[in-house]
Amino acid sequence: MEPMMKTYDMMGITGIHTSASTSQLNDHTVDKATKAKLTLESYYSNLIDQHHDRQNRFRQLEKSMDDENLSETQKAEKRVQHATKETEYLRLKRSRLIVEDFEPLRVIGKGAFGEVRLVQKKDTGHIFAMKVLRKADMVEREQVAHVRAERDVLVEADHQWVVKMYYSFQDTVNLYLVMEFLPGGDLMTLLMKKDILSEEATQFYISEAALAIESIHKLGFIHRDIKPDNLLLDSKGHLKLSDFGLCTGLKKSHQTVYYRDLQTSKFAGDLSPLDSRRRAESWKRNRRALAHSTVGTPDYIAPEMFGNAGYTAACDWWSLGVIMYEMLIGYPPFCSETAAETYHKVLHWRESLIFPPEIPVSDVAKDLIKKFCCDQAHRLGSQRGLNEIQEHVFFHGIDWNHLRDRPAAINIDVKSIDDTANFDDFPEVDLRIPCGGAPTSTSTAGDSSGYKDWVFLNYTFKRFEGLTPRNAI
Amino acid sequence: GLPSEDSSSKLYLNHMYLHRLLKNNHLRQIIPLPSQVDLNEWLATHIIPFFNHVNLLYGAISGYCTASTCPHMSAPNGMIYMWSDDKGRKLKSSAPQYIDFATTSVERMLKDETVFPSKHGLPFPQNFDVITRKIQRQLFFILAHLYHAHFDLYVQLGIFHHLNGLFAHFVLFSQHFNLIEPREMDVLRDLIDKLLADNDVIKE
Ligand SMILES: Nc1ncnc2c1ncn2[C@@H]1O[C@H](COP(=O)(O)OP(=O)(O)OP(=O)(O)O)[C@@H](O)[C@H]1O
Repeated sequence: MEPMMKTYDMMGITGIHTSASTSQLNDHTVDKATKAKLTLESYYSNLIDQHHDRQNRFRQLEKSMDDENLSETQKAEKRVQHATKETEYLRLKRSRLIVEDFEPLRVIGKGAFGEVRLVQKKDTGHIFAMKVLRKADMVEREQVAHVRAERDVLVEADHQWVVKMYYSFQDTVNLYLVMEFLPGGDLMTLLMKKDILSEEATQFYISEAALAIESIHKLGFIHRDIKPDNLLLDSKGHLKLSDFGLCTGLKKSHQTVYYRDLQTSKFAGDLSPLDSRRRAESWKRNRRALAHSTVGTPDYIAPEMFGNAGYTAACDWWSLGVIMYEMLIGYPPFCSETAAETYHKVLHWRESLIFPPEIPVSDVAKDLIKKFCCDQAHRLGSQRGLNEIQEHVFFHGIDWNHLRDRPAAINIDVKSIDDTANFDDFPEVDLRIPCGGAPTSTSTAGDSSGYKDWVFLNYTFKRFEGLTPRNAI
Repeated sequence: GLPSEDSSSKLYLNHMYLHRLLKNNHLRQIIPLPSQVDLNEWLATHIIPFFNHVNLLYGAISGYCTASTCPHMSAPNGMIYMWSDDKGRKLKSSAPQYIDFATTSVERMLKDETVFPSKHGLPFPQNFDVITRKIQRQLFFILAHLYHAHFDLYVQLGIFHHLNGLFAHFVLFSQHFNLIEPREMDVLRDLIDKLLADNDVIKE
């Protein structure tokens, strides 16, 4: 959680008469002062950023007009158009979005801390995926920092490999993330349907995932929770990353401690593999439940994440190795009946990472998996990132620069923009979202809910569509 | 007791408390209307947060602004503001009452889609300039009261930089777009002169 201390700055007030009958200010006053302080600080730092962004946009416009050798009248016309867009953006930022601006269509996903719905914006008719998170749950589990992390990445990563976010807003009860809807569903669902993938399809998904992971590493983020549930497919079957430390990150902070406790529990089982068919069956039986549980699964987590020695961005490459194994074999290498056993196997990967002889997998593929799933220092990608990975023979023939423009390995069958055939069915729950009515940003009401609403300060975000610079990195 | 009227006892003029959140040259950069952008939209974009922030800062100390501590809507130099009702009758009111009247009436305008339209494409009213001046004037009166009667609390709470920062922005913005009569600002002229004294130039 971010440090949000109470500020009670007594700088040099001795000897000064005070209008308060007592010099003791009560907690309520101090809290409200803290909220005012943080609000103003974040407002002004945003205001200056926005000023610079706006100037950049004006400069870019001038430059592109010069490059295109436009005539003065053409330029004048473009300037007017641009200013109109800027004006509309100011209006958009002022508009108070509320949950009622979106028509809920159906639930398409569930996580530990909220759910994802397919929604339609009432005024424009656009389709989005909306993630709804209960504030009280987040605060209870001290996950506010994670919410911020997710929001920040989604906002910053304005590019093809990350699920694009359009709006975020809040009311007294929930936080809402409105993002592009990816009709292809997630890779977990795909894997459950397909049993195993061909080496060719695996090559495609692993290369796209590698590009996606590299792109967030370049922004300075470590995902730490790469797993098939967080790899989404767009309408053409290409991959995008979602979920930045939001719920899963939240799970994880729980998890790591939880798993560490397992360390002390005695482990009696042996590490020799069951036969592959039985393991695949048991994995599939448990998989869905694992995805929706609060505890989650340690299957994809790198061993160093459980220790105290620290970890680097290389932990994401380990997870990619696990996913690749799962694609080719049908279940991840360390899967077990219990989390304790899985945890044990991850830590003892040297003994437990075994390829069942009855499933044919090429030596090149095995070699790449072993180079991802090994100790941090020797792991492929730990030194030179993607460059190092691209040199591996498994990727022979991949046109890294045009992957996304080529047809995907598996076609996505979607009939319309709001087709949810690629999603699980969730029991028809009440589609009305419990909410607190008006947005909290303008209200001055007290925080009767027991937590301080200002921990969600500055959560509201609106994308400046069309003028946000692409490929910023 | 309240500070008396000679300037040596005006706590907010003490150089120790003239710090503010933002440098004036930063403020001056972010104020002018960006080229060809709609003026009303620009005003609305700023006035709404001015109101919210004045409200937040007042809210922080409102427990200490009561009918007994502040029986009048007082401001420096013996100024007392009177609230005029719908029919133009002046009402005597305590500071918390006055501020309640003022914020309620401003909030009503800000939430009115025909005055501050927030939906795409809706126009501003013809008299939008008159309305913005009304709002800025009321916000100024509240700020004047906060400086006059409660500045010490902002010092104690460690947020006087924030009050000063908001005030400096508010004054520069109002001056730039001519939203407040200069003579209305006379009650805080001494503070304004000091806060905006540095003659740093507008940098582009
Ligand atoms: N933008 C999107 N478009 C389509 N489906 C989505 C989108 N975002 C999420 N989903 C679906 O919802 C599911 C849950 O989403 P997500 O993983 O973000 O939720 P979560 O609450 O973080 O869950 P967990 O913590 O278990 O990962 C995803 O696995 C996916 O099937």
